[in-house]
Amino acid sequence: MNAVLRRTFPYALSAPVLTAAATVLAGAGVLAGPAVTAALGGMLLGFVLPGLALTGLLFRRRTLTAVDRTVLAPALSRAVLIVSGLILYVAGVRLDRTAWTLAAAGTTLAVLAAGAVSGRLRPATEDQQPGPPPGPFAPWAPKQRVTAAPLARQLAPMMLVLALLAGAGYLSHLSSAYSYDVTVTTLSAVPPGPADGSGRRVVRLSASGLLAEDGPYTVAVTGPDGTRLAERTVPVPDSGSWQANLRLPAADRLTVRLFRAGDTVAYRTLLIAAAE
Amino acid sequence: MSDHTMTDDAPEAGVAARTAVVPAAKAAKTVVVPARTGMPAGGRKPARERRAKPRGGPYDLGHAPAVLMVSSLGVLMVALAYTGGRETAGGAALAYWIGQVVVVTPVVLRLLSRRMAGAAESFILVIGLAVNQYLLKWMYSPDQFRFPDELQHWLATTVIMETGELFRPNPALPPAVHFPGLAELGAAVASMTGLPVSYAGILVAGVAHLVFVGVLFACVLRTSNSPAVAGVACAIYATALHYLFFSSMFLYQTAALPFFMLAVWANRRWRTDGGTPFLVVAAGSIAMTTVSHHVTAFALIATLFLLGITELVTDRLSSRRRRWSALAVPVASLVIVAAWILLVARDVLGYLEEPVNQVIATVTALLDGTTTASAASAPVSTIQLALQGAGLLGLGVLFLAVGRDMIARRDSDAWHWAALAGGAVFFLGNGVRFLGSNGPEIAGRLSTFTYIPISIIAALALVRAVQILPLRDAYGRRHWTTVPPATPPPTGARLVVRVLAGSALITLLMIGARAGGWPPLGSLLPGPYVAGGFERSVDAYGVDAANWERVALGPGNRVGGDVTSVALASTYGRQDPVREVAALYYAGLWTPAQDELVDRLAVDYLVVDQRLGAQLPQSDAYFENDPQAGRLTRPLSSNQLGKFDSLPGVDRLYDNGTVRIYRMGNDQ
Repeated sequence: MNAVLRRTFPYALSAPVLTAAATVLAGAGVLAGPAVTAALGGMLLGFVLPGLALTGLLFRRRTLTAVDRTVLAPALSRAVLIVSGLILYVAGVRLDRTAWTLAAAGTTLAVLAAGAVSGRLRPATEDQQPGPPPGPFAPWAPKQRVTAAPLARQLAPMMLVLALLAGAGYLSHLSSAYSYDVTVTTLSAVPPGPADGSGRRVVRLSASGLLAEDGPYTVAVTGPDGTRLAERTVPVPDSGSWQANLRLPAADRLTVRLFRAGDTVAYRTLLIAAAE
Repeated sequence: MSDHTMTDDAPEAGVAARTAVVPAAKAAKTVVVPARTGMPAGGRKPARERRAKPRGGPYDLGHAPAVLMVSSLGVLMVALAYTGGRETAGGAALAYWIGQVVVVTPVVLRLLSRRMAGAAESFILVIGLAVNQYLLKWMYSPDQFRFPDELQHWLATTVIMETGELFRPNPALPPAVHFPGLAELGAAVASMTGLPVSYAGILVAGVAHLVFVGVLFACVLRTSNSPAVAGVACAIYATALHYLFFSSMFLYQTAALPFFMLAVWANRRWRTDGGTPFLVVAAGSIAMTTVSHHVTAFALIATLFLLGITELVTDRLSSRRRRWSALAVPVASLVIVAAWILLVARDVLGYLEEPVNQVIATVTALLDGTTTASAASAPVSTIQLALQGAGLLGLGVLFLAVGRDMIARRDSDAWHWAALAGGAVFFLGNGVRFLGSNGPEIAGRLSTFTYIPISIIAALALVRAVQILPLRDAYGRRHWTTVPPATPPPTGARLVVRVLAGSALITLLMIGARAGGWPPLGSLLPGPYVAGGFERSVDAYGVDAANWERVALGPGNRVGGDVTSVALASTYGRQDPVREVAALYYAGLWTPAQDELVDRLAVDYLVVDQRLGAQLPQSDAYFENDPQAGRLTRPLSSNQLGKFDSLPGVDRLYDNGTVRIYRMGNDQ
């Protein structure tokens, strides 16, 4: 049957203390650290630490398998976030980075403190002490303790697994971003307003995604009978975007065309209906 | 079965007593098989004797790392296939299918091999498989959400980020407003990590996916007392129709599923071990499921009642004292869900009414012998049907074998009976796919839950080598209804045949799920724009148009268009989607009828994607509520798409060469 291995650690290295320290560091990393520590700290506070603390408190007198503990930590962490969000909302607190971080870290520390207080007020009797993890996760015999060589034998292929998965992910990300990377050349107008006293109105035109090799572009506005009412040469700025306000007759249906350099057929076309 | 089954992944002979893998397991779950002795030449201990010494220390992962390495090669192969798909390279589809098989089959072979080191190896294999399969989903669109439903939840999360408040209106998916669990998680992770909502969403969905699989493993391990059964059950569940996409996407169901499973696990622990902590976890999980997803909450009530009722029934049949407390958690779930729906999320009843009514109308029409457009099922390819039919047949055989075995052994384990009943519901649910145009989707969504029990039943059959046909006794008789004589687990050639057959069945189920699941067969690989292709229809042109709507028009305008245009307008564009505009596009001429429809729907803008005139829709419909769905024989004509230019009171305010946006309000 499973051997019972009990190890004693200094209190400073006990799981609750380490969890509390990690929580404080993660919170600081999110609120005051650079992007990397914010990302790491945020993930720890979002998926690990609150659930770890809650599992410790709820099941302090229970024996759970490693599988149980492994799944409870992220599951309960997610629950903490959801409940925190609802409570903060009801309390009228704006849900931003500070609120989420303080909620997750605060809950974790509060749960750890509750566990410590509870342990002092109601210390577990000998038969209530959680035993070693049962089943195949437990040490079969003291001589089967983890040693470096078998551990390395198992971890080496896992490193390769990680490398393969990272490579596959990188390849996909790259190819997806590349396939999406298309310059979209647009011509657009903000919905024009009503006519002014002179029977004209301002039409705000925009063009974006302009390419230097296709420029300079030309914007031409024609009336219903094909009369050219306005024409602008559009040099291609570094941003690739252009905007202009044109005062145009409001009573006519107008056609706005964008031409590339050398083109006689419009590249993009807008239709502006007559104002009523 | 429960009284006679063997621990299956331990050595098959020479074990006088086997350790239960979970503390609550009864000693009756082990069986004594006489050991054979004898030393072969060479002084080496015989294999049976070697295996008699249980392997596996606390962190012995067995061959899991090596197996996962092979599985990861499959992930790489699928990544190459996706890249090939984006570049329309030949052979990409073949690489995809080979990759899928390489991802799944080695893990299944190992899980069925009866040589595992223990729960650690099984768990690592299962989680590794889940990671690899999630990567298959993520790699399809790794840089942004493209599926419309994911975009809807992206919007809900973004709104929380912007406003700092919950329950804000979400025109893209109004019912999601009152189920904020996923959006809260997404906003919390995005806020704390500083990642964009898309990446935070991928993380949230990924963790939810893994937690769900992990809790499923823990639950089956607790129920079956076998790491192999737990592992194989998870591997079989990975072949569910929606597992790789709808149960892994950034959708509210994905957020709710881990809590669903956790509630079941905690209920099980409470029933077997007692104790307030499990009750607390069960109640909390029910509450989290409830605030995360309506359908999952309903499924949880049904599941908990099934478990409670089977416990009461088996107690009665076994002459045990009936414990009415079995109904405590189910009743609590009913109260919690009802309270949330009636007090907070009343609109969900109307939202769910339509699909339910459609199924009822289809059943009525079938009974009456009448045919309606909505009652017609979407056509399914013969190969797809054959694959899925063969898989279902295999599951059916295993289901019947386990059922017969349980009856013969007078199994009194309530959870086994609940799994059997749930398995029966799975087969019934498969019939729903033939009920109307929404049938396949409803059947698929139902199978998210009913596939759990059938996976457990099939895993029990495969791992415990349940006899499909009872063996003949010394007189040549088969014992169909009486307790069969104890037989040792298969070894040698019989074991190899069983492992190969089991692996082949699970691989077949996986192929059937990929072929009949999501994305559709024609879109299994990412690639250039496809009309009516959901993810495949989202490209830079559509997104640019939607972003222009948000910036230039402001939020809340009524915008109509094809499926993709509406999805993008309502999310990136922040517009109020109008989904009933198909008639405006199909009309060859603009008549007063179209004017009347524009008025009635209060359409402000229409988005016209010129590519609808070049391709038939891959999903058989260009539009939501498309009256021509499944009947289109040619793309939209240039007249149909170009008629808006000739309407005197209509502005064309946006043109990117592919997508045009018209303002419809001038002539109203």
